[in-house]
Amino acid sequence: MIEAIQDQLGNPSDFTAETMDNGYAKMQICFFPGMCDMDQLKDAVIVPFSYRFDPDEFRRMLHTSVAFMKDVPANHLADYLLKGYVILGYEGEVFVFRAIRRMQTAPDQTQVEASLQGPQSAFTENLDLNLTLVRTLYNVPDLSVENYEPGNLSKSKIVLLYDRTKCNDATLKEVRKRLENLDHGLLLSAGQLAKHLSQAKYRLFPITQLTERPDRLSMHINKGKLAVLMDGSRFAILLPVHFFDFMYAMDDHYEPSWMSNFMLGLRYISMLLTLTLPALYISIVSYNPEVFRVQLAFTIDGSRAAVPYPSFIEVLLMLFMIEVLIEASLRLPRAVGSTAATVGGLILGQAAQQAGLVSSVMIIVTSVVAISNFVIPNTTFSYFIRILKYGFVAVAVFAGLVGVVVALFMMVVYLCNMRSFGEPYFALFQSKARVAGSKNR
Amino acid sequence: MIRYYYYHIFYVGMMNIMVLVPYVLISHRFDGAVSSFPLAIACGTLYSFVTSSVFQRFPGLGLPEIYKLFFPVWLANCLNIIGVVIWSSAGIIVLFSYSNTIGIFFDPEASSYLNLGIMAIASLWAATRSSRSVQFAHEVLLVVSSPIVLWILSKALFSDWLDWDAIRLVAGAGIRKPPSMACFFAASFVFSGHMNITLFNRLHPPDLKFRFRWMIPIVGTFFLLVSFFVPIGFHGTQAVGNYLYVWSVTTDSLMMKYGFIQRVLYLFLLLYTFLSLLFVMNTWHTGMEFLKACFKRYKPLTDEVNVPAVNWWICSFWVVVTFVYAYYTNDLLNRVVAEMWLITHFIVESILVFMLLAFWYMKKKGRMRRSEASLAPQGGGS
Amino acid sequence: MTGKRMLSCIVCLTLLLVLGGCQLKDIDKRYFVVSAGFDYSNDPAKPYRVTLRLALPSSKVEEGGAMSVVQTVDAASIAEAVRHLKATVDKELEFGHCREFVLGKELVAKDGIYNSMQWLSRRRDIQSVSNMMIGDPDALSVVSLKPKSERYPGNSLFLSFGNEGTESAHTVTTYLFDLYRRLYETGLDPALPVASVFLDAYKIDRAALLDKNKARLYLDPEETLLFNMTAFGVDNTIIVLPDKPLNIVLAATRNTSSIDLKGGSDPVAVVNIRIEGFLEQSPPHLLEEDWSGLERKMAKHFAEEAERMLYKIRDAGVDPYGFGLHYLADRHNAKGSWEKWKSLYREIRFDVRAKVSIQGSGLIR
Repeated sequence: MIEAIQDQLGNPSDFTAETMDNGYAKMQICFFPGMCDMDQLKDAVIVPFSYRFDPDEFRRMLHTSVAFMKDVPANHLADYLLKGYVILGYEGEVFVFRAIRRMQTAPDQTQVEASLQGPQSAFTENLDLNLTLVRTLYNVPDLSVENYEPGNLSKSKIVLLYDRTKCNDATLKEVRKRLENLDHGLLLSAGQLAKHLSQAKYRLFPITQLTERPDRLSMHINKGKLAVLMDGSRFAILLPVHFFDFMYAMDDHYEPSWMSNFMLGLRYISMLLTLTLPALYISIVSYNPEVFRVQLAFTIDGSRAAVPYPSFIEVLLMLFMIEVLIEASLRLPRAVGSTAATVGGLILGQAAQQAGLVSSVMIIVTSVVAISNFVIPNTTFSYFIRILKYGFVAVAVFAGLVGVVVALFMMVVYLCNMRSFGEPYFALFQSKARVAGSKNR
Repeated sequence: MIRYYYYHIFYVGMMNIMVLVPYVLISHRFDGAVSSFPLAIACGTLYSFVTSSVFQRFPGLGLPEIYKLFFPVWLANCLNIIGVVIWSSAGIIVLFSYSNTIGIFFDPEASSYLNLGIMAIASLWAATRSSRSVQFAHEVLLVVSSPIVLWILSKALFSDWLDWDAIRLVAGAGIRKPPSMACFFAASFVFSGHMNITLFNRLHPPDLKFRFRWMIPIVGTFFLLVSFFVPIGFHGTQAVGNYLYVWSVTTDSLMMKYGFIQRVLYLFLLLYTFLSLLFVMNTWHTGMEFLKACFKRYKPLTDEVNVPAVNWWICSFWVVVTFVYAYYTNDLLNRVVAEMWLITHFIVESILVFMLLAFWYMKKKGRMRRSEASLAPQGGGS
Repeated sequence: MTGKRMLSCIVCLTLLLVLGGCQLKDIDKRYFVVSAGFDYSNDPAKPYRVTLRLALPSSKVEEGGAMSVVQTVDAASIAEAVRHLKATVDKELEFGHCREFVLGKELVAKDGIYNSMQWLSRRRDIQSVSNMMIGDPDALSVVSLKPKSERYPGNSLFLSFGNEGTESAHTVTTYLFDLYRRLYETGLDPALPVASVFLDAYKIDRAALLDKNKARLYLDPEETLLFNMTAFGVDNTIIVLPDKPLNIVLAATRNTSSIDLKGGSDPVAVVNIRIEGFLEQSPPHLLEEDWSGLERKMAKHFAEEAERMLYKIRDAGVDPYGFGLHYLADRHNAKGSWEKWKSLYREIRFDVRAKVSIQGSGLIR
């Protein structure tokens, strides 16, 4: 047996395959020491086999304990080994023992979706722990868990979660189909999986949501929707989602409703600002300076006096700068990051304005755009908005203010035309009708 | 679901400004505009009640499907074509006159084809979407823009500069004149929001009850009176006749002292960009669906995921017609065409109402050529 | 499918490029006209003298920091003059922010306002809420004044009107759309404020009453105040009751007025006015002695003054209050009623029904 497995694996150096002999019996054992929990292995196998060996008891243990699997087909043994199982050969029979090393035993701290007063625990990269987290928060017997193992290189376990009584059958069928048809070289993260699930590549808005918060996932499932968890990723995929879901932070459910409604309004306004402000600047400066109040026109006129090129180059220049700045400070070590922000934001901005390369109003526009973009609670969504704003800039260059309004119209129609796994993506007053509809089905 | 029906009533009430209804009415302000109002209100209300009651009897069926229930195919197709012409020409007229308005007030020196071009592309794209998407977009845009439109209207209504004597004069003098036909046709357009049910009834669930129908005369009367009398109050009984885009000038007479945009005109025009595009989207979409219903292979779908190529072809054709129309026409001609359209629209609407009553009767007697279920539109499909 | 979509996107973009793109005109390539004046040049070939005040951008907004240039040209019409002016400046003229239009006194006297109004009402970029006024002695002097206190060009004149900045009861505010309406309306005649230069500031305390074209009557400041109160119901005014040793002055905070016609075939023109306010200047304890008596006395005095002004207006043959329109509205614009009104108005009697209510003595202690 050992030889066969070693052949299959190509005898890697991090692999251990031994024949143990305690003087009474022999046992073949093979495993990847790096992937196995050695303590568990010692307690469950090594100790009974060596110090307190009793052939009858040992045989009984191997056959009855749920920890040992028997009758695993020989061609699957390597797969189990690669996941951190231990393979034992004893008296001509092959047992598979689960001793996967768990990297995490406690829930993570929230990092992306921080909350002030809500739960602070987040998903980990361990699927079992994640399931525990969900089960504790959504503690009902109706919670269904379905396993999927895609036939790709990483073979990470994928789990589909939903509430049997509340969920929409059509959506469920659709998602199942897509999960079964997954085949892709390397599936490394939930984000990648989400991309495959949503299929269309050039969509302007995300139709799945990534979250690291078990409470968000539970709330989502409680609404009759689905969630996908993946081993090795600390993010869950929620689907189907609505446009409005992306604007909710979990804090909104925990804070007084006046405050949360106010914050919600703030976020929508910020989203509109970050989308349209650069485009509006171009249309005011280059097309319709008479639209906005006279003071504003004179202020912009004065501040632009020294700028040597047309407005849209100024806008593109500053947007380029701010994007570069964000990108640079994202990947830098934390200690250097703040320096980069200071140099880029403060010094460069100030100097560029004094040198007459950009107008001071443009500096304000740029910073408002950047800050407003960070107000959007969901990272994926804010990325999409960040890209979309260039569309508006392009329209404004060619058609001015009217173009911006027409583009807004087209964006609304686009959103209304989107479906997230069969559900309308951007429709007002839909939630009640949907719940009623799914009950009838 | 009933709210979608009232959205149409509401926005056609607001849109009357863009199909030059106030212009027609005001040009007849001393001879019979006002006296045709009660007639138009009564007639419009009656028509709305009839259409909604009849369509309630045919849940989930659009007008093309109902034609097929009772008529041979050739007759149904002819009637569909009439619908196509009426609907799509409405979109073309609005697109032309609105892009002209925008051109005049936003950029008088620019080529008028640029604005027409971008608006046509936007409407082309919007109209080709599925019926359900069109309905959603309609709802969202209306909910966003109508409060601001109402705010502008109320700002105008309560303005100090509104001359009530002029309004009193026109109302008092006009009500004593015999009603004018042209004004009657124009005024009844304000109530014709119910006509959109001819297509969008496809989306209505079987158990739909038309409640709150008493709102129709109220909403229609409000918009009719406001869109006629407020310009007169602002520009006086005489000078008001000198303006073509009378509402644009009226909103220009308002001011937002503290706003980012000081001229209400611009806010008004930007909002009406939404509403006009919405109108063109609705009319072209309806026209497109009516035309598609003439083909034999066609299966009515309300929520298709992928847009069929035929949608693009039909709507592109309308874009081309719009450009041809824009090339050969001007403001003056467009005015005449709009007036003619209003008349034709009313006549077609009347014929339709009588046909619907006949359908109702025939359904009661059970004289149907095909079964309702076989014609009912499907939701999804590819 | 995506390939097709990409292709159609590219086609659309190129279409846009072809159609637009070249229309970009940056704000620094435009001159903002902040006020415009029209004068009569006494040259029959080129009767119109057009003066434009153009704002120069400055990066600092501060008191007295407003920079502007004034350009003047004579031409056969206003439109030609503006076209001609374009040739003398290096940037595009932009009328969108011009809200002050000054008509020279001589122009109003000789040519009338009708021709100027034709140009003004046709330009779509000119706001309907522009302030119209008559420049005394001419528009040029009013337009070319650059007050030291201006923060940005044209601000000072603009703030004088309406209730934007100062709320002066002597300033009649007439917007372009209002003037246009009065120009055409039967039974309602135009009224315009008269602006002149006084030291380093504008003085706008008189009003001119016009028939459909030319000025018929210039009101003096006291009459302008009365006119403003009775015709427009302007708030924040004062009423003066002559008294010795010191006049009694009421600062009116609220003021509502309306007109009406009473009596059938031989009507009386009634002006109802309600004034509320505080005493700003009075002998001590006057109010406590006879509160309602003082109110009555002030009302009576006000009514007398106002009636005198109304008769003066009537005798000039103009009707800025819109009594005629009111009469026509009452008669439902019946045939012949306009002719009847014209003969009636010459002999009409006025009745000002003023009601003054004093809210308090204005004393703090």
